[in-house]
Amino acid sequence: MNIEVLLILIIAALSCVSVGIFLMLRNLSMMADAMSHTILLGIVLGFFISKSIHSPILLVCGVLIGLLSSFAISLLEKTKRMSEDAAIGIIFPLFFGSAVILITLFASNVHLDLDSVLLGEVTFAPLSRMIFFGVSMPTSLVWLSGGLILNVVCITLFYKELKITSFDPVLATITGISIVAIQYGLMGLVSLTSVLAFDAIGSILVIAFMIGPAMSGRLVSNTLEEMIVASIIFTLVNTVIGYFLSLFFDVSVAGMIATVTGVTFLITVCVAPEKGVITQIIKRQTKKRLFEQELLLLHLQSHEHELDYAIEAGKKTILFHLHWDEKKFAAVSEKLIVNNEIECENDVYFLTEKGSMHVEYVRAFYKIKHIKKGQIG
Amino acid sequence: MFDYTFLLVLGSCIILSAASSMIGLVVVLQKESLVGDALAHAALPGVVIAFLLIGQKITLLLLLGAFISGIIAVILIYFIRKNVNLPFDGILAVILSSFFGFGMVLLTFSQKLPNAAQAGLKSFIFGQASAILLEDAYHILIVSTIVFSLFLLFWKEIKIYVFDPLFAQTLGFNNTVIQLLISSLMMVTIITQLQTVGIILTSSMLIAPGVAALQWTKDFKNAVMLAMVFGSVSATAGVIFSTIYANVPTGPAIIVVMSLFAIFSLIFGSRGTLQQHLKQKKFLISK
Repeated sequence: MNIEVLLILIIAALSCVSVGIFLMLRNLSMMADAMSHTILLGIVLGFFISKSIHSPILLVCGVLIGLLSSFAISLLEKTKRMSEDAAIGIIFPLFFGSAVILITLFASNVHLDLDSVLLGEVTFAPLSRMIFFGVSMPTSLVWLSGGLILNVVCITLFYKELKITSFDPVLATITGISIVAIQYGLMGLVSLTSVLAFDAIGSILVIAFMIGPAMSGRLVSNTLEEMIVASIIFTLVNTVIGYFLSLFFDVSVAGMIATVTGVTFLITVCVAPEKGVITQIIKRQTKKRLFEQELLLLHLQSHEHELDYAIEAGKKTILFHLHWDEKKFAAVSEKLIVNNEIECENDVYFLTEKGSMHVEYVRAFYKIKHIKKGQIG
Repeated sequence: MFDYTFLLVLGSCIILSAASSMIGLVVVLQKESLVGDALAHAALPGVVIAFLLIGQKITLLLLLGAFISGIIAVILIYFIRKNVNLPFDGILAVILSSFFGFGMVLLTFSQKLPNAAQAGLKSFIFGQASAILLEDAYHILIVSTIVFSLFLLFWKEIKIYVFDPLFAQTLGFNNTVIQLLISSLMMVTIITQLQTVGIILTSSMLIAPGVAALQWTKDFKNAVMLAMVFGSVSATAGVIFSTIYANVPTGPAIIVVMSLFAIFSLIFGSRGTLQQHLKQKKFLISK
């Protein structure tokens, strides 16, 4: 285990998720995916200008090309001649394909191989070091921390604007917030984060770090603030578990973290409180059971004070009137008897005091009126 | 230049592009272009698992693995979309990247095995059209023929379903079956392309010619034919370009040409933005 590698990963993941939350809220996930690919062209161009892979020019070119691609996608979409996903499907392969061609044409004999850019290799990150305030630190750690601080500062400063433009663009326009400015500011942060993270994570998997925890966070929360906290927790869990699993199996670190991200997302989809698939099934079942119990209580109460109560509240009539089978009736009545809401004597059922109170509550809740005697049949 | 390998690669790429442009037009019209992207990324773990199981690189079995993991991903995507309230593109992004990440994990795992045959697995990521063998060309030919004939056979059904699903239903067509047909045709084409174009770029082989064709015509039949022409011409240009510059991979070359075609058509097409602009101006002057 290397504490520096883990630290680099955590900081990279945190800066990814900080912008990812807002991307996800604005339905820009696939746009971000496209951008994280197109920055490759910027990196290649920057490399041709600066002749070095660790130059700030790469950063500038990457951010510019990332912004350019998002601008081009919006431009194509605005012509109304194609849908947004088609626009993404045209711009990103154009940029990415050009980058691949440029690399193979001019840079195949230097240190800029596709694998390291696209797939990332964090294990080697601590090898390149720099002196920062007298302490020797990995270069990428310093850069990534700078990126994270920038993201956090920008998001805190423009938190209100980001929130309003994400949830209610019309209100934002009315209050005078420029949606375009906020949008491109966010896109700038996205491309900056992707460029900074590419040698740790690799540009294909950046999207997993951005969107994965944010999606899981969205499932377990009800407000934006809750979602941010939940997403950060998911990020930390994914990164730490993924890192140790990758050490254990000796496999790709970023790949393992992306896998864990997918797994935690699927688990959240299943068991998230309130919104999860399994949770919803359980909730529906519980409601169904409760409804059945209340139905039986209502039936008993509506026949109270009737002369033929012994027949109406008898097991046979109830089965016939409610269209239930024996098994279902047994389950419902047993539960009610345990709850002390009904009593049973010779297959005839009576409401207890608690049961009557429950029925009154049900009547009030569903607004069911008392039917006077002789009104029906 | 016009040697055996060149003709083999050229022929395969043209047939493949034509098939994918055809089915791609339908996908573009349905506005689900990026599902293809997710599908292609999700194929990686399937390829590697198939390789780990059989220990050899038998292309057909690897592609079968890709097909299975692609299906699993698509089922997951639609299952989550149906049952949980989340943005569709977010679901696509998470499933796509986590499947690809898992593929990377398996790939790095297989690289440590003593089996030397794994060396070529990485070519699935970027594709290697120049390495097409006669056997692969046969696969491509067979798959494309099946795709063509199924498409022509169900032409009427696909056409009505794409433009007016409700009308199709009232006519008594089974929409689920038609959607399944379209999805499986798309999947088969994508999987066949993986070898030549690679995972990352494969989706645009579907999208770009379709978008380009729609800038010239409103008619479905003409659009399909035009898309196929654009696809084949781009494939030819790309293959020639990559033959002249020996290092350039064929897949990206084809795709850059395709994207440029799409952007050119968007501006200068008979239904493109420039024509629209002129029409508006004419209208204003005549008033």
